[in-house]
This record gives sequence, C-alpha cells and structure tokens, in this order.
Amino acid sequence: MSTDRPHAPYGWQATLNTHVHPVTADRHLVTVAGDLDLYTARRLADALQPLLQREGQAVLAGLPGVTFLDSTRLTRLITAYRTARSAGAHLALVAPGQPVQCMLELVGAGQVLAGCPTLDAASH
Amino acid sequence: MSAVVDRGVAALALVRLMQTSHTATLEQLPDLIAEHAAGAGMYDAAVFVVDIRESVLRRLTGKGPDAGNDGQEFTVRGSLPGQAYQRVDLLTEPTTGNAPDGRRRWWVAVTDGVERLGVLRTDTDTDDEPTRQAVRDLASMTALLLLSKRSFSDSYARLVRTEPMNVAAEMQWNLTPPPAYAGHDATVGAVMEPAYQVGGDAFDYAVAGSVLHLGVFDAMGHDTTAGISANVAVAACRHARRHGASLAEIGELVEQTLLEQFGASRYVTGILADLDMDTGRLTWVNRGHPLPILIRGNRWTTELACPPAGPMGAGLDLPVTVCTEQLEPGDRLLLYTDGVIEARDTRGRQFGRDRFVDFIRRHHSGRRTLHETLRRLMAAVMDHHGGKLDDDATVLLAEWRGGHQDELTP
Repeated sequence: MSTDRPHAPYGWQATLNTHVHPVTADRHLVTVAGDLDLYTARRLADALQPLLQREGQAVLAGLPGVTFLDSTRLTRLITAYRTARSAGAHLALVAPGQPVQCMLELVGAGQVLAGCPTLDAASH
Repeated sequence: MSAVVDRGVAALALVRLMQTSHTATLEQLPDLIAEHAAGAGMYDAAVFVVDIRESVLRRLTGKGPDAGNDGQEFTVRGSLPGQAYQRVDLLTEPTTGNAPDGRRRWWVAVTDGVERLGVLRTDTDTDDEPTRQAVRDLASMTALLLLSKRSFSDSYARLVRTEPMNVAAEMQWNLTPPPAYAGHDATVGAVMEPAYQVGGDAFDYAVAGSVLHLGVFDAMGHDTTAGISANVAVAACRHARRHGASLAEIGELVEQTLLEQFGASRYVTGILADLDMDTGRLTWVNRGHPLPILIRGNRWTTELACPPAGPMGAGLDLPVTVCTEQLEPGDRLLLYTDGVIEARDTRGRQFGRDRFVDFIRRHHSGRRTLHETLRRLMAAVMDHHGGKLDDDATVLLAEWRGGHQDELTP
C-alpha cells in the first residue's frame, strides 16, 4: 500500500518508489524499491518526515537493493535521524546493502542508525 | 674574455636584487633577476614557473595579462628543464646546446627548500663548483622573490593555470597552506584534484613549537556551497587551534560552527591530527573520514583505526575518541579523501586503496622526493580516470624522521 501522495512534477514516479506500511499503530515500515538515487532519497525523506515527528513512533526504513549511498543521500538519512531524535521517535534501517552499511560505519552514522537485517524481521 | 663566477660577487648581486625587488611587481622580476645575475657572470637568466598541476613550465616574461606573453614552454615530463624540476637538481645542457659564445647553459629547480615553483635557466662561461653554487643561490633567491609577489598577482595566477577555475577551487587554493613543508624532523606534501573544479576538499597543516597539526577535510557535495562549508570548517579549526583547543574540542567547535551556518544540511568529514615532532607521538580524532594509513619502511602498512565521531556538522552527538600511535623514525603517514581510491577507469574499476598505498611505497624511495611522488600519484589517479575526476581527491603525506633531519629530502 502506498500512502505517498503524488504531486507535481514527480507525481507518478513517487508512488512507484516509496511505500509506507503500517505494522502496528506506533510502528511503520517505509521501503524504497530500487536504487536510492537523488530523487528517491528525497521521496524517502518526505515520506519519513511526518512519521518521525510523533513521539514513541518506531519507523523502519527499508532499503533492500540499495547499493549506493553518497553524501547527499546520507544527509537525508541524518536529517531524518535528527528529526526522530528531537521528537522522541525512533528510526532504524532495514536490510541496507553491504556498501551502504560500510558507508554508515565509516562515518559513524551506523552507531545511531542500526537496523534489522531483513524486511521480514522488521515486519514482526 | 670569459667571466669567472665568484660566489662573493654573486652574493652581493643577490642582496641588491632582493633590495630592489621590494618595490617591484611580479612583472618586473624577470628583468630585475636577469640584470643582477648578469652582473655576477650569469647571463640570459630566465624564470619558468610550473602550473598548479605540475605538468608544464612556462616562462615568466613579465608581458601580457598572464606575464607570460611570447614565452617558451616546456613539459615537466620528457624535457631537460622538466628533469631539473622533477629531481630538484641543477642540470647542464650538452655542450652543443643553445647557449651562445660557447657558454654553459644551466637549468636549476626554483625552490624555497620545500615547494617547487619552477626552473631557472642561465648561461655561464665557467663550469666549476663556485659557478654551480652561484646558480643555485640565484634559484633560491628567485624562489623567495616569486613567493613574495605571487599572493597578490593575478598575472601569476593566470600563468600557472591551464584551465578555467570554478569558484570553489578559487576559494580552496587560497584556503590551503603551501603544498609543501619541511622542518623539525618532518616533511609534509599535499595534492588536491581536480585542481580547477574542486568542490569540498581541503587540507591544512600548521606548526606550533614541536607540534605539527595535520588535517584533511571533505565537505559533502561538489558545488560552491561545498567549497564554502570546507572554508568554514578550516577557519573554525584554525580558530579553535589558535585558542589552544584540544583535538576533540576543535572537532566540536567545527561541528557547532557548521550547525549554526547550515543547520545539519551540510557536513564535513575529516581527520584532525597532532604529531609531536620531538617524540613521534601521533594523536588524532576521526570525524567520519577514511582512516589514516601508516607506512613503516617498505615492509609494513596499516590503517590507524579510531572510532568515528561522526561528520562535523551532522549533529550526531557521538562520543569523540582521541587515538594515539607511536611513530618510528622514517614512518610515513597518509591522510586522504575517498576520491583518491574511488576514481574509476572506463570499465568501472576503482583505483583502490591497495594500488594507492603501493604507488606511494614504490615511488617514494631513495632518489625521489615526497612531492615528486605525490605529483606522479595524482597523474596516475587522473590517468586512471581518463583525465577527469568526478569526485575531489586529496592526499596529504607526512614523513617523520625523528632525529635524522639531514636525511630529509624536500
């Protein structure tokens, strides 16, 4: 199910790329299909933003198949983490690929953006 | 009648040259140098400066918008002047050379002892040790004169460029210290590419007493804002350092300054290090950056591990660990940004960390200087990437001699 509201000029692409799955009332799984390019990173951030502003909310960002993370994309994740931290919400990454994990470890973001290894584990 | 070059006469000529130069512009230097050198038996002196990528030597004629109109040009690779430059040496042309009246023609590297600025050409009647010394002295004085004029000369900036420069690069080249340092048992060299289109990379070093501070920075992005954030980071680092802050405190102050300016939308990764040049003790903090590499002799290479405290300006509030390592005399320390190892060839293969370290080990040996090694490394990285880098690539190489300063080869 997609709750990502399409709007110009990105409209239809957005619905294809970002999906929000409510797991429980205070737990959501947001997934990105395909690669995390500059465009999908922004859509992911937009989808995460409202969820992360609720205290006690656990948000799992699913990144299966995401094989590359550059500094601009990393900034989106860091911003999301900071939003969550100040609202008292919790953000975790699910199934980041090995290169993404390495990048997170290198900069230190892995210490605060730890995650579940698989989407299945995150959904329960 | 042939003129003998006397070192005392030459020395006096150089002192007069220095005094006259105080009120001269860069454009006037070539004539001043030639005139004073001729008075000491060194004829037709000509100054050639090297471009910022160290690939070509251009004659400083003092004419035209780049002070190089009608000037000859030599490549650093494959020419006799280029050889003198690469080897930081004094070379002579074969006797059948271009010098008139059967004179000897000399080519000598123009250096302040560390940084290579170009080469100097001059002809003499004699070929003995005093002559060679006088030619070297002339080159030394030429280096100091160029250094004293270049910082406010647009002509010089034009002459040493072979491509147009973007705004961020314009900032970065004014931000960084000279690409070479030697003194107090340590040598430092640094290179930065793409020289004309750099985004957010920067390096810094500074000496206070026996402490050599070293820093490499990588600001996210490749735009002008990346250049601005790198400038803010380096300025904040210097500010904190000069107020006596510790490495951990410096990183925190850079973090706070970036957060105030950019609100976590821009961050800068970096390694901040202090080397005690008396004892060889290295301390450093890792702000989310590729780890320093230590090369010991030609046998042993290791990454110096240190938990990352997160990029400066990202506001992750991670604990800062100050790491230490005892260096041995002859150790070399590599600080770099990821653009060096991630440069890809046409088939997508990265230059890679192993090739990077191997290159330094193979090329930085015995007769080749640290700076010449770095020049060759960057040429190899650029070649690997088809002559054009997508990301910034910076390398800072520091060598600690520990009581063997006489072995330093700048």
